[in-house]
Amino acid sequence: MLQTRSGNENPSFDDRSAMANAQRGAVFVTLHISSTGLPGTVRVYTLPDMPSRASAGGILSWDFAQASYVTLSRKFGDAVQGQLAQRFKGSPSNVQNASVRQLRTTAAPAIAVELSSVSVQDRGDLNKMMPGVADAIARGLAAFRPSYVVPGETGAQP
Amino acid sequence: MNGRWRTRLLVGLGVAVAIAAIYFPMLKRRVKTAAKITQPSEEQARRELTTTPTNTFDPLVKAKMFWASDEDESALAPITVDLALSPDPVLRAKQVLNTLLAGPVSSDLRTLPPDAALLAFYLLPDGTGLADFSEALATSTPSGIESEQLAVDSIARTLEANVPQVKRLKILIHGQEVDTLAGHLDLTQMFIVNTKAAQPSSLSVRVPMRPAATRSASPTSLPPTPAARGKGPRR
Repeated sequence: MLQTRSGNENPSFDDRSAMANAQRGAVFVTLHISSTGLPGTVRVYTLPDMPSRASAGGILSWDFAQASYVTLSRKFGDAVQGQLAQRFKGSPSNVQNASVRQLRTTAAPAIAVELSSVSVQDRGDLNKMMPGVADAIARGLAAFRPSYVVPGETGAQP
Repeated sequence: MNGRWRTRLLVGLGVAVAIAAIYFPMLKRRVKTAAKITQPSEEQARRELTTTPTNTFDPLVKAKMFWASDEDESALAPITVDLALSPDPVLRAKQVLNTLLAGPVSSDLRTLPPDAALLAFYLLPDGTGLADFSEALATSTPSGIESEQLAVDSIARTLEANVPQVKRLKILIHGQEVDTLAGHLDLTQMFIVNTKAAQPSSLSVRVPMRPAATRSASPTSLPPTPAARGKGPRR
Protein backbone atom coordinates (compact mmCIF):
# COMPACT_ATOMS: atom_id res chain seq x y z
CA MET A 1 0.00 0.00 0.00
CA LEU A 2 1.28 3.43 -0.95
CA GLN A 3 -0.10 6.51 0.80
CA THR A 4 0.02 9.51 -1.55
CA ARG A 5 -0.36 12.06 1.22
CA SER A 6 -0.55 12.11 4.99
CA GLY A 7 -2.28 15.45 5.57
CA ASN A 8 -4.62 17.94 4.00
CA GLU A 9 -1.89 19.73 2.06
CA ASN A 10 0.14 19.11 -1.09
CA PRO A 11 1.13 17.12 -3.20
CA SER A 12 -1.07 18.28 -6.04
CA PHE A 13 -3.72 16.17 -7.79
CA ASP A 14 -1.30 15.45 -10.64
CA ASP A 15 1.54 14.53 -8.29
CA ARG A 16 -0.68 12.06 -6.48
CA SER A 17 -1.85 10.57 -9.78
CA ALA A 18 1.79 10.32 -10.87
CA MET A 19 2.60 8.29 -7.75
CA ALA A 20 -0.39 6.00 -8.34
CA ASN A 21 0.23 5.64 -12.07
CA ALA A 22 3.79 4.49 -11.45
CA GLN A 23 2.44 1.36 -9.74
CA ARG A 24 1.68 -1.75 -11.75
CA GLY A 25 -1.67 -3.46 -11.20
CA ALA A 26 -2.71 -1.06 -8.45
CA VAL A 27 -6.09 0.30 -7.46
CA PHE A 28 -6.58 3.88 -6.27
CA VAL A 29 -8.77 4.90 -3.34
CA THR A 30 -9.19 8.53 -2.33
CA LEU A 31 -10.79 9.09 1.10
CA HIS A 32 -12.82 12.16 2.05
CA ILE A 33 -15.03 13.42 4.85
CA SER A 34 -17.92 15.52 3.59
CA SER A 35 -19.39 18.73 5.00
CA THR A 36 -22.93 17.50 4.39
CA GLY A 37 -24.95 14.31 4.23
CA LEU A 38 -26.51 11.94 6.72
CA PRO A 39 -23.96 11.39 9.52
CA GLY A 40 -22.76 7.81 9.73
CA THR A 41 -23.20 7.04 6.03
CA VAL A 42 -20.53 6.40 3.40
CA ARG A 43 -20.73 6.86 -0.36
CA VAL A 44 -18.46 5.62 -3.14
CA TYR A 45 -18.00 7.63 -6.35
CA THR A 46 -16.48 6.87 -9.72
CA LEU A 47 -16.17 9.06 -12.79
CA PRO A 48 -19.00 9.05 -15.34
CA ASP A 49 -18.22 7.64 -18.79
CA MET A 50 -15.66 9.70 -20.62
CA PRO A 51 -14.35 9.50 -24.19
CA SER A 52 -11.23 7.40 -24.54
CA ARG A 53 -8.29 9.53 -25.65
CA ALA A 54 -5.56 7.02 -26.34
CA SER A 55 -3.20 8.21 -29.06
CA ALA A 56 -2.31 6.17 -32.15
CA GLY A 57 0.65 4.70 -30.26
CA GLY A 58 -1.64 3.53 -27.46
CA ILE A 59 -0.36 6.13 -25.02
CA LEU A 60 -3.04 7.36 -22.65
CA SER A 61 -3.75 11.07 -22.53
CA TRP A 62 -2.84 12.34 -19.06
CA ASP A 63 -6.03 14.36 -18.75
CA PHE A 64 -8.15 11.33 -19.59
CA ALA A 65 -6.07 8.60 -17.96
CA GLN A 66 -9.14 7.22 -16.20
CA ALA A 67 -11.12 6.79 -19.45
CA SER A 68 -9.99 3.20 -20.08
CA TYR A 69 -10.66 2.21 -16.47
CA VAL A 70 -14.16 3.61 -15.90
CA THR A 71 -15.88 0.21 -16.22
CA LEU A 72 -13.38 -1.47 -13.90
CA SER A 73 -13.63 1.42 -11.44
CA ARG A 74 -17.41 1.02 -11.38
CA LYS A 75 -17.10 -2.71 -10.65
CA PHE A 76 -14.63 -1.98 -7.87
CA GLY A 77 -16.86 0.80 -6.54
CA ASP A 78 -19.96 -1.40 -6.53
CA ALA A 79 -18.07 -4.10 -4.63
CA VAL A 80 -16.92 -1.63 -1.97
CA GLN A 81 -20.26 0.22 -1.76
CA GLY A 82 -22.06 -3.10 -1.25
CA GLN A 83 -19.83 -3.84 1.73
CA LEU A 84 -20.27 -0.33 3.13
CA ALA A 85 -24.07 -0.50 2.83
CA GLN A 86 -24.05 -3.58 5.07
CA ARG A 87 -22.03 -1.79 7.76
CA PHE A 88 -23.40 1.76 7.61
CA LYS A 89 -27.17 2.01 7.54
CA GLY A 90 -28.52 4.64 5.18
CA SER A 91 -25.59 4.36 2.77
CA PRO A 92 -26.52 3.74 -0.88
CA SER A 93 -26.14 0.20 -2.19
CA ASN A 94 -24.56 1.19 -5.52
CA VAL A 95 -21.66 3.35 -6.56
CA GLN A 96 -22.51 6.89 -7.76
CA ASN A 97 -21.13 9.01 -10.59
CA ALA A 98 -19.32 12.27 -9.88
CA SER A 99 -16.61 14.18 -11.73
CA VAL A 100 -14.07 13.91 -8.92
CA ARG A 101 -10.93 15.72 -10.06
CA GLN A 102 -8.48 13.31 -8.43
CA LEU A 103 -9.86 10.31 -10.31
CA ARG A 104 -9.59 11.76 -13.82
CA THR A 105 -5.80 11.53 -14.14
CA THR A 106 -5.49 8.12 -12.51
CA ALA A 107 -4.67 5.18 -14.79
CA ALA A 108 -6.04 2.42 -12.56
CA PRO A 109 -9.40 1.33 -11.16
CA ALA A 110 -10.10 4.34 -8.96
CA ILE A 111 -12.79 5.22 -6.45
CA ALA A 112 -13.52 8.10 -4.07
CA VAL A 113 -14.95 7.16 -0.67
CA GLU A 114 -16.71 9.92 1.24
CA LEU A 115 -17.84 9.68 4.87
CA SER A 116 -20.54 11.91 6.32
CA SER A 117 -19.77 14.21 7.90
CA VAL A 118 -17.67 16.85 9.63
CA SER A 119 -20.92 18.07 11.22
CA VAL A 120 -20.90 15.24 13.81
CA GLN A 121 -20.68 16.66 17.32
CA ASP A 122 -18.10 14.13 18.49
CA ARG A 123 -15.11 13.43 16.27
CA GLY A 124 -14.94 10.04 17.96
CA ASP A 125 -18.03 9.03 15.96
CA LEU A 126 -16.03 9.44 12.75
CA ASN A 127 -13.04 7.59 14.20
CA LYS A 128 -15.32 4.67 15.10
CA MET A 129 -16.32 4.40 11.44
CA MET A 130 -12.74 3.97 10.21
CA PRO A 131 -12.21 0.23 10.91
CA GLY A 132 -15.54 -0.56 9.22
CA VAL A 133 -14.61 1.56 6.20
CA ALA A 134 -11.17 -0.07 5.93
CA ASP A 135 -12.67 -3.55 6.23
CA ALA A 136 -15.30 -2.79 3.56
CA ILE A 137 -12.62 -1.51 1.16
CA ALA A 138 -10.44 -4.59 1.75
CA ARG A 139 -13.34 -7.00 1.26
CA GLY A 140 -14.59 -5.09 -1.76
CA LEU A 141 -11.12 -5.20 -3.27
CA ALA A 142 -10.88 -8.96 -2.64
CA ALA A 143 -14.22 -9.45 -4.41
CA PHE A 144 -13.17 -7.22 -7.30
CA ARG A 145 -9.66 -8.68 -7.81
CA PRO A 146 -10.61 -11.62 -10.09
CA SER A 147 -12.23 -9.22 -12.56
CA TYR A 148 -9.24 -6.84 -12.62
CA VAL A 149 -7.86 -7.36 -16.10
CA VAL A 150 -5.59 -4.57 -17.25
CA PRO A 151 -7.12 -2.88 -20.32
CA GLY A 152 -5.33 -3.62 -23.58
CA GLU A 153 -3.64 -6.74 -22.27
CA THR A 154 -5.96 -9.68 -22.79
CA GLY A 155 -5.77 -12.08 -19.91
CA ALA A 156 -3.29 -9.95 -17.99
CA GLN A 157 -4.11 -9.82 -14.32
CA PRO A 158 -2.21 -8.02 -11.60
CA MET B 1 -20.50 92.23 31.79
CA ASN B 2 -21.04 91.87 35.54
CA GLY B 3 -20.08 88.81 37.59
CA ARG B 4 -23.58 87.32 37.67
CA TRP B 5 -23.88 87.25 33.89
CA ARG B 6 -20.39 85.84 33.57
CA THR B 7 -21.34 82.99 35.94
CA ARG B 8 -24.54 82.32 33.98
CA LEU B 9 -22.61 82.24 30.74
CA LEU B 10 -20.03 79.84 32.14
CA VAL B 11 -22.75 77.57 33.56
CA GLY B 12 -24.54 77.63 30.19
CA LEU B 13 -21.35 76.75 28.36
CA GLY B 14 -20.64 73.97 30.85
CA VAL B 15 -24.11 72.49 30.30
CA ALA B 16 -23.65 72.71 26.52
CA VAL B 17 -20.30 70.89 26.77
CA ALA B 18 -21.85 68.20 29.00
CA ILE B 19 -24.74 67.66 26.55
CA ALA B 20 -22.27 67.50 23.65
CA ALA B 21 -20.13 64.98 25.52
CA ILE B 22 -23.17 62.72 25.93
CA TYR B 23 -24.72 63.29 22.52
CA PHE B 24 -21.58 63.18 20.34
CA PRO B 25 -20.66 59.48 20.93
CA MET B 26 -24.33 58.54 20.32
CA LEU B 27 -24.30 60.50 17.08
CA LYS B 28 -21.03 58.83 16.05
CA ARG B 29 -22.52 55.36 16.66
CA ARG B 30 -25.63 56.24 14.64
CA VAL B 31 -23.53 57.47 11.71
CA LYS B 32 -21.46 54.26 11.79
CA THR B 33 -24.57 52.08 11.87
CA ALA B 34 -26.16 54.03 9.02
CA ALA B 35 -22.97 53.69 6.98
CA LYS B 36 -22.98 49.91 7.52
CA ILE B 37 -26.59 49.65 6.41
CA THR B 38 -26.16 51.73 3.28
CA GLN B 39 -22.75 50.33 2.22
CA PRO B 40 -23.35 47.04 0.39
CA SER B 41 -20.79 44.27 0.48
CA GLU B 42 -18.66 43.73 -2.60
CA GLU B 43 -20.75 40.67 -3.51
CA GLN B 44 -24.04 42.53 -3.00
CA ALA B 45 -22.82 45.42 -5.12
CA ARG B 46 -21.70 42.99 -7.84
CA ARG B 47 -25.02 41.18 -7.71
CA GLU B 48 -26.91 44.45 -8.06
CA LEU B 49 -24.82 45.28 -11.10
CA THR B 50 -25.23 41.87 -12.68
CA THR B 51 -28.88 41.25 -11.86
CA THR B 52 -30.80 40.72 -15.04
CA PRO B 53 -33.72 43.11 -15.31
CA THR B 54 -37.05 41.42 -15.75
CA ASN B 55 -39.10 42.81 -18.57
CA THR B 56 -42.72 43.12 -17.50
CA PHE B 57 -43.74 42.26 -21.07
CA ASP B 58 -42.03 38.85 -20.86
CA PRO B 59 -44.58 36.07 -20.58
CA LEU B 60 -45.10 34.57 -17.15
CA VAL B 61 -44.11 30.92 -17.32
CA LYS B 62 -43.88 28.10 -14.82
CA ALA B 63 -40.13 27.69 -14.35
CA LYS B 64 -38.71 24.56 -12.70
CA MET B 65 -36.00 25.34 -10.16
CA PHE B 66 -33.91 22.50 -8.75
CA TRP B 67 -33.16 23.04 -5.08
CA ALA B 68 -32.44 20.40 -2.44
CA SER B 69 -35.27 18.04 -1.62
CA ASP B 70 -36.84 18.55 1.81
CA GLU B 71 -37.13 14.77 2.18
CA ASP B 72 -33.55 13.92 1.22
CA GLU B 73 -31.01 16.73 1.45
CA SER B 74 -28.59 14.85 -0.79
CA ALA B 75 -31.09 14.88 -3.70
CA LEU B 76 -32.64 17.59 -5.81
CA ALA B 77 -36.34 18.27 -6.20
CA PRO B 78 -38.02 20.50 -8.79
CA ILE B 79 -39.99 23.46 -7.46
CA THR B 80 -42.25 25.32 -9.87
CA VAL B 81 -41.98 29.10 -9.73
CA ASP B 82 -43.92 31.65 -11.82
CA LEU B 83 -41.30 33.78 -13.58
CA ALA B 84 -41.42 36.35 -16.36
CA LEU B 85 -38.81 34.76 -18.63
CA SER B 86 -37.30 36.27 -21.73
CA PRO B 87 -37.49 34.27 -24.97
CA ASP B 88 -33.79 35.11 -25.51
CA PRO B 89 -31.83 32.07 -24.22
CA VAL B 90 -28.99 34.10 -22.70
CA LEU B 91 -31.29 36.44 -20.79
CA ARG B 92 -33.47 33.50 -19.83
CA ALA B 93 -30.45 31.57 -18.50
CA LYS B 94 -29.41 34.59 -16.43
CA GLN B 95 -32.94 34.97 -15.07
CA VAL B 96 -33.28 31.35 -13.96
CA LEU B 97 -29.75 31.17 -12.53
CA ASN B 98 -30.29 34.39 -10.56
CA THR B 99 -33.53 32.92 -9.21
CA LEU B 100 -31.65 29.73 -8.30
CA LEU B 101 -29.01 31.80 -6.50
CA ALA B 102 -31.66 33.83 -4.67
CA GLY B 103 -32.70 30.52 -3.14
CA PRO B 104 -35.90 28.80 -2.11
CA VAL B 105 -38.27 29.97 0.63
CA SER B 106 -36.53 27.65 3.10
CA SER B 107 -32.84 28.46 3.29
CA ASP B 108 -32.12 24.84 4.35
CA LEU B 109 -32.90 23.77 0.79
CA ARG B 110 -30.31 26.04 -0.81
CA THR B 111 -27.83 24.38 -3.13
CA LEU B 112 -25.70 27.47 -3.80
CA PRO B 113 -24.17 29.86 -1.25
CA PRO B 114 -26.23 33.04 -0.64
CA ASP B 115 -23.29 35.36 -1.30
CA ALA B 116 -22.49 33.87 -4.72
CA ALA B 117 -23.41 35.87 -7.82
CA LEU B 118 -23.68 35.14 -11.52
CA LEU B 119 -21.27 37.55 -13.20
CA ALA B 120 -21.99 36.62 -16.81
CA PHE B 121 -23.53 33.98 -19.00
CA TYR B 122 -22.42 33.25 -22.56
CA LEU B 123 -23.96 30.90 -25.09
CA LEU B 124 -21.77 29.59 -27.89
CA PRO B 125 -23.43 28.76 -31.22
CA ASP B 126 -22.95 25.00 -30.58
CA GLY B 127 -25.09 25.13 -27.43
CA THR B 128 -22.26 25.39 -24.91
CA GLY B 129 -23.24 27.62 -22.02
CA LEU B 130 -20.48 29.38 -20.06
CA ALA B 131 -21.66 30.44 -16.61
CA ASP B 132 -19.26 32.79 -14.85
CA PHE B 133 -19.80 32.97 -11.09
CA SER B 134 -18.16 35.11 -8.39
CA GLU B 135 -15.49 33.61 -6.14
CA ALA B 136 -18.05 33.02 -3.41
CA LEU B 137 -19.35 30.00 -5.33
CA ALA B 138 -15.97 28.33 -4.81
CA THR B 139 -15.17 29.66 -1.35
CA SER B 140 -18.60 29.28 0.28
CA THR B 141 -19.88 26.00 -1.19
CA PRO B 142 -19.45 23.35 1.53
CA SER B 143 -16.43 21.23 0.65
CA GLY B 144 -17.22 17.63 -0.26
CA ILE B 145 -18.10 15.52 -3.28
CA GLU B 146 -21.80 15.31 -2.40
CA SER B 147 -22.32 19.04 -1.73
CA GLU B 148 -20.27 20.16 -4.73
CA GLN B 149 -22.08 17.69 -7.00
CA LEU B 150 -25.44 18.94 -5.70
CA ALA B 151 -24.46 22.54 -6.46
CA VAL B 152 -23.44 21.78 -10.05
CA ASP B 153 -26.41 19.46 -10.64
CA SER B 154 -28.84 22.14 -9.47
CA ILE B 155 -27.36 24.58 -12.01
CA ALA B 156 -27.31 22.03 -14.84
CA ARG B 157 -30.80 20.67 -14.22
CA THR B 158 -32.33 24.13 -13.82
CA LEU B 159 -30.83 25.13 -17.18
CA GLU B 160 -31.99 21.86 -18.76
CA ALA B 161 -35.56 22.42 -17.58
CA ASN B 162 -35.83 26.07 -18.62
CA VAL B 163 -33.33 26.85 -21.37
CA PRO B 164 -33.39 24.02 -23.94
CA GLN B 165 -30.80 25.79 -26.14
CA VAL B 166 -28.08 25.06 -23.54
CA LYS B 167 -26.68 21.59 -24.19
CA ARG B 168 -23.44 21.65 -22.25
CA LEU B 169 -22.26 23.75 -19.33
CA LYS B 170 -18.87 25.10 -18.42
CA ILE B 171 -18.53 26.79 -15.04
CA LEU B 172 -16.01 29.59 -14.61
CA ILE B 173 -15.06 31.34 -11.39
CA HIS B 174 -14.46 35.06 -11.85
CA GLY B 175 -13.77 34.54 -15.54
CA GLN B 176 -11.20 31.81 -14.98
CA GLU B 177 -11.17 28.06 -15.39
CA VAL B 178 -10.47 26.48 -12.00
CA ASP B 179 -9.42 22.93 -11.12
CA THR B 180 -12.24 22.17 -8.69
CA LEU B 181 -15.33 23.80 -7.21
CA ALA B 182 -14.34 23.45 -3.55
CA GLY B 183 -11.55 20.89 -3.63
CA HIS B 184 -13.29 17.88 -5.15
CA LEU B 185 -15.55 18.34 -8.17
CA ASP B 186 -13.71 18.79 -11.46
CA LEU B 187 -14.54 22.13 -13.10
CA THR B 188 -12.10 21.68 -15.97
CA GLN B 189 -14.77 19.45 -17.54
CA MET B 190 -17.99 20.38 -19.23
CA PHE B 191 -21.23 19.16 -17.77
CA ILE B 192 -23.95 17.72 -19.96
CA VAL B 193 -27.10 19.79 -19.57
CA ASN B 194 -29.47 18.60 -22.27
CA THR B 195 -28.95 14.85 -22.37
CA LYS B 196 -31.13 14.42 -25.47
CA ALA B 197 -29.34 17.03 -27.56
CA ALA B 198 -25.79 16.35 -26.36
CA GLN B 199 -23.54 13.82 -28.06
CA PRO B 200 -24.52 10.38 -26.81
CA SER B 201 -20.96 9.01 -26.93
CA SER B 202 -19.49 11.38 -24.37
CA LEU B 203 -20.85 12.37 -21.02
CA SER B 204 -18.09 14.80 -20.23
CA VAL B 205 -16.03 16.84 -22.62
CA ARG B 206 -13.07 19.08 -22.04
CA VAL B 207 -13.13 22.67 -23.31
CA PRO B 208 -9.94 24.13 -24.75
CA MET B 209 -9.85 27.05 -22.31
CA ARG B 210 -6.08 27.37 -22.42
CA PRO B 211 -3.41 26.25 -24.87
CA ALA B 212 -2.37 22.68 -24.26
CA ALA B 213 0.09 21.65 -26.91
CA THR B 214 0.80 18.25 -25.38
CA ARG B 215 -2.82 17.28 -24.86
CA SER B 216 -4.47 15.13 -27.46
CA ALA B 217 -8.04 16.00 -28.25
CA SER B 218 -10.63 14.77 -30.66
CA PRO B 219 -11.66 17.63 -32.92
CA THR B 220 -15.22 16.29 -33.16
CA SER B 221 -15.86 16.59 -29.44
CA LEU B 222 -14.29 19.96 -28.81
CA PRO B 223 -16.38 23.02 -29.55
CA PRO B 224 -14.40 25.61 -31.48
CA THR B 225 -13.36 28.68 -29.57
CA PRO B 226 -15.14 31.93 -30.39
CA ALA B 227 -11.98 33.26 -32.09
CA ALA B 228 -11.72 30.20 -34.30
CA ARG B 229 -15.29 30.59 -35.45
CA GLY B 230 -14.84 34.27 -36.07
CA LYS B 231 -17.94 34.89 -34.05
CA GLY B 232 -17.99 35.77 -30.38
CA PRO B 233 -20.21 34.19 -27.78
CA ARG B 234 -23.54 35.71 -27.00
CA ARG B 235 -23.56 37.49 -23.70
